[in-house]
Amino acid sequence: MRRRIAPLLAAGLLALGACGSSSGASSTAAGPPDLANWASVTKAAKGQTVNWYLWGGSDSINSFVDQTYGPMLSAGYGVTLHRVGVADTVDAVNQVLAEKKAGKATGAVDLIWINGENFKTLKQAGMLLDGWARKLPNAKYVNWDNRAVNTDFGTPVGDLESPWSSAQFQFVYDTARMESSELPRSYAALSAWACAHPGRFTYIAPGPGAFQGTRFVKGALYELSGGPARWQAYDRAAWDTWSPKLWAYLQQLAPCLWRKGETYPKDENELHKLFANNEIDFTITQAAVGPGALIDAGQVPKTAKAFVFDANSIGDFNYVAVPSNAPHKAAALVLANLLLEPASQAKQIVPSNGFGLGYAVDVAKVTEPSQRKLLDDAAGALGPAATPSADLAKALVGDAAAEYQDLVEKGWAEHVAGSA
Amino acid sequence: MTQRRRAWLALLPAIAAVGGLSAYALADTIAESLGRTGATGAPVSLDAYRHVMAGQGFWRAALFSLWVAAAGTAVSAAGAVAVAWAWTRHPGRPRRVRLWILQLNVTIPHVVWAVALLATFSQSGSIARVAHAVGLIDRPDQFPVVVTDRHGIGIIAHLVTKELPFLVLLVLPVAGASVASLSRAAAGLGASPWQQLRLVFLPAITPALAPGAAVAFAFALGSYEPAAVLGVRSPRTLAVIALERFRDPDLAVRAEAMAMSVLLAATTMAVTAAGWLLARAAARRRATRSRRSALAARVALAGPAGSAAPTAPVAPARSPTLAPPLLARWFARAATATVTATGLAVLVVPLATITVSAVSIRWFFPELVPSEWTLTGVRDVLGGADTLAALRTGLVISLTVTVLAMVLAWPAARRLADSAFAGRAASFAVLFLPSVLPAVGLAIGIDVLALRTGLAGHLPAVIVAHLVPSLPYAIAVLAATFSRFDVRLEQQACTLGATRWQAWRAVTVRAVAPGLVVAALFTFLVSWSQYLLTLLVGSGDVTTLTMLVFTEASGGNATRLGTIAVLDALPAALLLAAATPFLRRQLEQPSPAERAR
Repeated sequence: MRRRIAPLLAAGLLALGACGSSSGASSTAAGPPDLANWASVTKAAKGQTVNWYLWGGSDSINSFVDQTYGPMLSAGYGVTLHRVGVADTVDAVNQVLAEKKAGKATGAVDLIWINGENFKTLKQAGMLLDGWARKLPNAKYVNWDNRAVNTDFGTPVGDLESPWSSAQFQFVYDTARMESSELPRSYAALSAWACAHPGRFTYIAPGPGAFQGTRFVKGALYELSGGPARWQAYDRAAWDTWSPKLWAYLQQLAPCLWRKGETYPKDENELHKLFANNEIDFTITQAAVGPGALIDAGQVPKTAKAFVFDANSIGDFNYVAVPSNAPHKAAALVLANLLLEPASQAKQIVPSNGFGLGYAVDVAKVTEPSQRKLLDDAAGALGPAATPSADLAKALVGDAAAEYQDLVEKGWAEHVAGSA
Repeated sequence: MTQRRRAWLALLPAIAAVGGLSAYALADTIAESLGRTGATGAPVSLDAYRHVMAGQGFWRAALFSLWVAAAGTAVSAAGAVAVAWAWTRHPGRPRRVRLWILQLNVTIPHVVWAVALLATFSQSGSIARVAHAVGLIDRPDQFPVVVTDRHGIGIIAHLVTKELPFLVLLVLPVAGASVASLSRAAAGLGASPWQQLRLVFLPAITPALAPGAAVAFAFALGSYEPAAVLGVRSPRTLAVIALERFRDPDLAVRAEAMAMSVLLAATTMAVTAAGWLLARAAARRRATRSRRSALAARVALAGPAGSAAPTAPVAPARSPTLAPPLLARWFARAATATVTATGLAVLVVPLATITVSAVSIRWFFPELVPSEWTLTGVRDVLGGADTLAALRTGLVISLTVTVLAMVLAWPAARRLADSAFAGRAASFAVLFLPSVLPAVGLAIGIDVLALRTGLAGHLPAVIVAHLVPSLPYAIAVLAATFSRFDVRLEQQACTLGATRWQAWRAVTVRAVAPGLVVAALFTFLVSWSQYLLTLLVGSGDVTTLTMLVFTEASGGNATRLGTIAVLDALPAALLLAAATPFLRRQLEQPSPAERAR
C-alpha cells in the first residue's frame, strides 16, 4: 500500500512546486532598438520590465535605486524596474557567460552596473550590445573626449557602455580622534605615521571584488615611480622595473599594520567596521561626498571626515552595459538614458539620498539654465564630511591600464600577503 | 529476483535525483577543468591542473584545509559520543534545556552562525567589550585573536559548534532507551563503564555516527561560509580559493577553479572511502567480538540457574554502579552543570549579540550596551516587500524540498538499512556523491544543466537542486533509524490480522517517528541555509532570506544584518519548538520493540 502512496504524493508535490513558478517566464526577445528614432525605443519599452543586475551590498544604494529610478521609469515611460542585487558584479557576468555556454538566445539580464575587468570579460566574450551608448539622447552631456570616460581601466569603452557616475579614492579619519594637521598626505608620510602608531592602519587586501585595495596599492606605485603617466598604457618593462620597489615599500609597511600585517581586511565594509570599532584610525571611501552615506547608515561615527593625499588619488567612472541576449533591450536603453538625465544626476550625488557618487555628466555641457542649477545646487550642498572639491580635483589621476589590475593583485598575494 | 528488482526500484528515484544530477555536475566540472568550456572552445589540456599544483601556496592551503576539516570532525565526533553516552547512562536526563541547546544550534544557518561568532569573538566583539568593561584590556588589540586567526581556530570552533550538535542529534535516536537497558544489562554482568562504552554503546551508535562523521568531514572540507567569514587571507582553505578563482572574470582562471574542485572532490572521496573501509573492518571485528561476548553473557546468565556456577564475578561489579561514592556523584553533577552552562553560553552569547545589533545603531567598541537603540532595522525588514517575499520564497522551497526528500528517502533508507542488500555499498556511494563534492562545482554543474533545459530561474529547478545536497542527510538519518527497526514487527502485525496499511501506520511509522522528525528537520535546514545553489540555479530571480543574509553580510549595515539574520534563524527554530516535545518523549520512552517485549 505505502508503495502506491509515495509516488502519488510525489506527483502531487511536483504539481504544487510548478504552481509557484510563473515568475520570469514572460521574456520577449526583440531585435536591436532603432536609436535613430528614440520615440520608437520608448514606445517599445512601454510595458517592459527591466532586470537591472547590480551590486546589492549597500542598502542605501539599493533603496536609492528603487525609490529614485523606479518611480521615474514607471511614471515617465511605463517601464517597471526589477533590481537584482548580486554579492559581486562578477555573478552577473557569470550569469551571462553561463547563458552563452548553454546557448540561451534570450537571457535574464537587461542591464549591468559594470566596470573594468568585468567589462573586459564580457567585451571579449562578445556578449555586449554595441552601438548605443553615444547615441542616447542624454549622451550629449557626457565628455566622451575625456580619457577617464572613453577608457575603462585601459579598455576602450567604444559604444558598449554608458557612464552612470564617478568615484575617487579618498581616506576617512575621525575628527574626534585626531586633528587634520596630523594627517599623512603622501604614501611616504603614511608609512612614517603607521610605524609611529603601530597597529592603527591597514588597507584592503587587493584581489577580485576588492578593487579599492588594488587602487590603494596602485596609488603607491604612482608615487614611487613619480606619477601616473607611464601606467596609462601597458608596459611590461616599466612594471618589472618598479614593482620590486612597490613590494619593498609594502613589505616594510606590513609590520607596522593592524595585526602586524599577518592578515588584511577583505573589503571596504570590513575596513569601515575596524575603523568604527576603534581598531584602526583610517578607512577609505570612493564617494565624491565622503563618508556621508556611511554616517547616515550608522557604519562609521558621525565625526568621520574624508581627506585625500596631495597627489595620486585615483578616480574613475561607473558604467552600465546591456548584454547582447538581454530580453528587454529597449527598456534597458531607456534606463541607461534616464541615469544621465541632469535631474537624476543631481539626485545621485546628494548623500542623504543614499548613493553619493560623483557626476557622470560634464556639468559644463549642461547648458539649459534650470538643469544646470539643479547640478550646481546639489554640488554645493555636500556636507562637512566631504573632501574639499579643490583637494579632490588637485589629486585626481586616472586608473592604470587594465593589465596592471591582475599583476598588482597576484604580485601582492605573492610578495606581500605571505611576507608577514 | 523480483525482490532484488523491487529493492532497486525503491532506490531508483533517490539515486536518479541525487546521483544523476551530481554525476552530471561532476562530469561537467571535470570537462571544464580540462579546458572544455563552451565560451572558448579550447582543446583538452591539463594546463589548469599544472598551474594549480605548481601555484604558490597550493600545498599549504591543502594542508590547512585538511587540518581544519579533520580537527573539526574529530572534536565534533568525540564530543558527540561523550554527550550521547552521558545522557543514555542517565535515562530521563535529556532535559528540555539541554536538548534545546543542541537543537537550536543546529537550526541556525551557517552564514548566520558565522556572522554571530565573528560579532562575539572578534577583537572588538562583545566578549572583548566585557573584558574592557571589567578592566582586563584597554584597546581591542590586547584581546586575543580567536576568530580570523591563522591557525583556523575560529573555523574549527564554527565547525565544532555546528557539527557536534548535528552528530548528537543523529546518534540520540539510535542511542535510545534500548541501548541504555543493554548497557545496564552489561553492567549487571560485570562490564566496567569503559567496557559498556566500547562493547555496547559505540557498536550501537556506529551505524549513525560513521556516515554522519563522513558527511561532516566532507562538509568541513568543502564548506565556504565559515572559512570565508572566520578565516584569514592566508592561509586559506581550498574551497575559498576555488570559489575566488571561479569568480575571477578570466576564463582560464575559471578552469583552474574547476581543477581545484576536482582535486577537492577526489580528496573527500578518498577520505570517505578510507573511512568506509575502516568502518567495515571495525564492523567485522565487532561481529566477532559480539559473538564472543554473547557467549560470555550466556555463560554468566547460566550461572545462577546452574547449581555450582560462581556468582562472585557479578556481585562486585554491581555495587559501584548502584552506589557510587558521594564525592564522585557530586563531581559528576558539577561537571554536567558546567558543560550545560558552557553549552548555553556558547549558544546564547552570539545570538544575543546579533539580536542586540538588530535593534541598535552605531554600537561601536568599547560600548558594552548600545547608546542608540532603533527599530528602523525591524521596520525596514518587516515592512520591506523584498524581505517578506524572500521569506515566503524560502519557506515554499524548503518545505517542498522536505516533503519530497522524505518521500524519496523513505524507500531508499529502508533498503539501505538492510545489511543483507547486495547493492548497499554501491547505492550509498552514489547517494552520498553530492555530500563529498565541493559545493561550488556541484552548484555550477547543476546550474549549467538548468540553463540548458531552460529551467533556470524557476522555482522547481531550485527545489530539485536543493534536493541534491539535502537528500543524503535525510537518507543517512532514516537509514540509521531503520537499521534498529525490527522488520519482523511489521510481519507480526500482519499475522495478527492488520492490513499492510495498518501495519505500516501503527508499527513502522511509530517506530521510526523520531528519526523521521530529525530527518525532516535536517532536510529543511540544509535547504533553508543554501546560498550558492539558490543564487546560480535561481538566476537571480529566486531570492531566499538566506541569500539576503549573505548580501547583508557583505553590506556592512550591522542593524539590518542583525535583523535579517535573526529573521532567518526564526522559521527553523519555530519548527524545532514544535518538534521538541515529541522528540523528547521519543527519547525518554522505550521503543515499540521494547514495549512489545
